[in-house]
Amino acid sequence: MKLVKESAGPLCVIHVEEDRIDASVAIQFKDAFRELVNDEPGGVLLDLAKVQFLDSSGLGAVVAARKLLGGERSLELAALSPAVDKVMTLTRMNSVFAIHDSVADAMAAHGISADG
Amino acid sequence: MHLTFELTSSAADVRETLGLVRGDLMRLGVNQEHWDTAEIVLAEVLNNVVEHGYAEEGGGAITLNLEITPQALHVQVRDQGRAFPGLTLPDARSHDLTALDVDALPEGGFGWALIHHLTQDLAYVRKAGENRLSFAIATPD
Repeated sequence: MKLVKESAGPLCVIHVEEDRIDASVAIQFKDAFRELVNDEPGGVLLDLAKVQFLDSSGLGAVVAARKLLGGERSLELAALSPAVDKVMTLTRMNSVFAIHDSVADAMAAHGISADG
Repeated sequence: MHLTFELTSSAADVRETLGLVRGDLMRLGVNQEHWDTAEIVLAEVLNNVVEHGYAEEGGGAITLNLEITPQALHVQVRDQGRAFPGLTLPDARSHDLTALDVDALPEGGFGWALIHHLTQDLAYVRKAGENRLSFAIATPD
């Protein structure tokens, strides 16, 4: 499970460098996410641009990641593929997460310039 | 057009099989939107067999039959795992998410909601020591 962390001012961006978050890697995702955000004080943006498929186990792992951050820190999502968007919508998890069209949009929403 | 896939009960095998099914269906002209829906349903159904039917024990046999018509993708999944409790399929559970604290968010229980929502003619029988689950996924307009 390859996740890449990028700090963008107050926001920590986690890029998921995998094309699937499914039952076979859900636990690895959770563990890798925990490692990366452990010492991050602020909110986290999860970049899902490369993820073409998310099943209910993968969704459970994303929810677990959200819970890991607690009530003080936010987890937002960016760049959902059509299949990922469909799962988020049908399970109504799109009401739990702030969802942005792209990482650049999310940055702009947080007042961070894209080239900064 | 009929396709049959044999796999064993592991999450890795489910992933690999979905890749094979995708390749075959794309070759046969199934469009991306139809496949996106089919993949969600097939992943939930097959992982359910792995996790519950065979209770995470590897090596259980699963047979996936697909029939493609212009109107729909017809699917039958057969396994020799445990029967569904009460010989009935779980309902589509729906969570009221808006009222929940972060700590109370559900991490599971989404699968059957997705399956019920995205399929037609969902049916289950236990016969000859097998679970037989069948359903259709309509071709998008």
